[in-house]
Amino acid sequence: MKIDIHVHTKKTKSGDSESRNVTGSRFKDIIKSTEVKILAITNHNHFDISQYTDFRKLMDGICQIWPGIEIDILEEGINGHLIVIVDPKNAIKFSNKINILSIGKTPDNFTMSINEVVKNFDALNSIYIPHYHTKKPSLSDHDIDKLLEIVSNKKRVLKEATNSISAGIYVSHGHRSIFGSDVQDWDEYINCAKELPDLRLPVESYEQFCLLLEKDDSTIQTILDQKTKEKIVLYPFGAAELLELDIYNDINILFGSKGTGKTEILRALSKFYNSKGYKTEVYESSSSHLDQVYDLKGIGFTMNIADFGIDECKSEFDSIKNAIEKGITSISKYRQYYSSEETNKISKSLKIRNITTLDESSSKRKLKEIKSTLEKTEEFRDYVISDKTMKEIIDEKILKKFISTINSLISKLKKETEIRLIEHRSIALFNNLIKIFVTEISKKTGHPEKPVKTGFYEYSNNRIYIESHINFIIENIKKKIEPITEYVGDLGIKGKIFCQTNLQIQDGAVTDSKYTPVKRVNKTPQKEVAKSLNTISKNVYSNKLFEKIEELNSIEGSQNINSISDLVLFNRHFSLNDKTYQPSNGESSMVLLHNELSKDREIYLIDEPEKSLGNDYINDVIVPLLKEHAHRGKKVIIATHDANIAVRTLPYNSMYREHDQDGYNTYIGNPFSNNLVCLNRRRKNLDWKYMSMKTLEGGKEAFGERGKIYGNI
Amino acid sequence: METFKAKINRTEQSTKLVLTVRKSNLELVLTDDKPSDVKLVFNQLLVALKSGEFNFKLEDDKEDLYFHVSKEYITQLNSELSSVYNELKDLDLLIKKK
Repeated sequence: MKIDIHVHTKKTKSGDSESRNVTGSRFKDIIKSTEVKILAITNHNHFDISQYTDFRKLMDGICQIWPGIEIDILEEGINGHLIVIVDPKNAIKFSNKINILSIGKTPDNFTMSINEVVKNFDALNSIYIPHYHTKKPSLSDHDIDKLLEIVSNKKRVLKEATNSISAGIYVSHGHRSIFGSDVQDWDEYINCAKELPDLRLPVESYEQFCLLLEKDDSTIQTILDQKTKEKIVLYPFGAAELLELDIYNDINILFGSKGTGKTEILRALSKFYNSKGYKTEVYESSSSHLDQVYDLKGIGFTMNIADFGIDECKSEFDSIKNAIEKGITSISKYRQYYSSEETNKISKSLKIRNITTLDESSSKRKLKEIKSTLEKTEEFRDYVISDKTMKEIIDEKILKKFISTINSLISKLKKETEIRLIEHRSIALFNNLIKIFVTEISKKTGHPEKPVKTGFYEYSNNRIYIESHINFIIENIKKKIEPITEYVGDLGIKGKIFCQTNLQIQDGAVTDSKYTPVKRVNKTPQKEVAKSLNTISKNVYSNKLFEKIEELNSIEGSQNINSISDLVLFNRHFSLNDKTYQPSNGESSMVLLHNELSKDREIYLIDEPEKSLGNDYINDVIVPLLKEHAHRGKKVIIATHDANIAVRTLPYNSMYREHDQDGYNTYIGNPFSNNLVCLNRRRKNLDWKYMSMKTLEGGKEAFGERGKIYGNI
Repeated sequence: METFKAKINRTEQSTKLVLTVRKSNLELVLTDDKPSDVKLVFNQLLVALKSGEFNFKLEDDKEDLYFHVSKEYITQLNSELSSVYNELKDLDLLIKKK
């Protein structure tokens, strides 16, 4: 539907071209040959009510004709043009006003100030279109600001551009803009009309056009900001009922009585869009509570304790649980050896049996250390060689030099490894040699075997590692995990609501019943194991150590506690102003819906968002959010019984579902056309206003009565 | 490294190897076999090692069976004390001096 808001039908000023004059029949023929369905007659400083009335009658059913004028504005000695279009219902009043204002003036010397224009025409439900920027003679930004300041509705001021490109740019920069033909010669009009703007939606009347102005910054389609519709074929109720719906990148409302299948349509839409590769789901207000969504019970909670800088200590747990006491050499063995007199001369001469064994563990540790260093260095060299980014960024020569240096390091480390290996093997061989000699001498002579060690090293080494492991476990148990706080939503003046996840490791002293284990373990063994670990740490150098380890292993359920994670306790709650808070059902719905609408989606499918919500929240928060999404060209499809959502969002698309004795019917329309057209054409068109009032407001009478009551308050 | 005294205490009832570690005397009965008592001494030696490395020097002039037993035992124990001290040091389990 094309619109032309700037049409001259008469030469009124001496400078106007004769070719602006047009007869009624010619006008009709020309307009009929175009797609223009709305046209405003805006002659210079003149309004001819009789021509307007004639043309209107002639064009009935073909094109809407709106009354208007192009006024010479004089502000601070500078002239600019301003188009004023008024509600056709006020055409006579408009004509009278202009006649009075024109007394003693001709179109050539007729001027008005902005104040005078608003004072005279604002009450006529007017639209103001000043020439802007390159559209000459234009009003300055200062003049337009003045106009915006004094008009009763700022949305009724549109800046006139010269063409569609300029208008598109203005719109994309947040200016309300439109353009018209400003016809100079009616012979050219048919061609010129092809470039005229398309309205985003067909409108039934001037009133509906003003509604469109209320809704969008731009009433016209521009290249940069288009409202488009997509035809979708659905079978939400099986093959028997086909629905062919137009879905706009705007707000699409599904309304109708309960049980008319609105939810099924939303689900079918979700399925349709998902099959196209979008990720959609129907948001159903009452289906879940905030507690479930945020998993307050922690049913799905998982964590990696390493993320908190805590070690799992798995090998340490294993080592403690499986620790056994190491034997020592009995003193009687020394006594036995020295009690019996050795007679064998050869054995007496073998001094090797008197040599004490050497420390093998120290050399073993040193070898292990260098092996690890060598391994890491080699890994690093291989990484440098294989990394593509490094090759891309670093000069080949530098890289080669760097690798060569690492190779030198590796070579040195390898030499040292060899030395340490030889040292370790020599000690081991030497100790083994002593053992063999001692054993063999004993075998051959019958003399008791000489003990080669007291057993202190093995005994101590065992406890040292137990101490090291238990210390490591306790050190990790003592680590604190900072609460994890996640923003949940805004409860308005009450404040912002957060979800706080608290984790702590059972150290044997945690008694808070609000905490539950994260892993599948019971709380009692958790606590008992933690206490037992503390006891073990205090008994590392006592004879009771292995008794305490046995006690740990005998705790019922201790077999399930094998790492720090198994000792982690979980508690999650909402908080408001740093205090624990339990949101009500209404608050839960508010936050969930708000969060759903805050997600960045292409398509929003919302089922009855009004459930459990107050009207003030819908009006103040939800409706603006829905409008914002529509403004950004998102598809918002809402099934609703709420008039605030269905009407105040001024949807491009209203889908009405009805059920009667013959079955279900679906109607499509919108507030701008004020029509609801039956999809299968079985029923007559319905009046959008009437049906909205009936379904959403309880009927015209109820709506009127409420109006009266409110009016009396 | 500190060197502590080791003495042999001979009585009618029993003979003991007495290890003096700082202010404590640790006794190993040479005439009886009580592994738990030996372990108790080992525990104390281990705790003492955390405060610093040490070994023992046997002070005895009677060359009897207990002398030979003790001499050998002390020689081996000294070697093992040194190994354990190194292990404690590597695992950072020594008591840090203030």
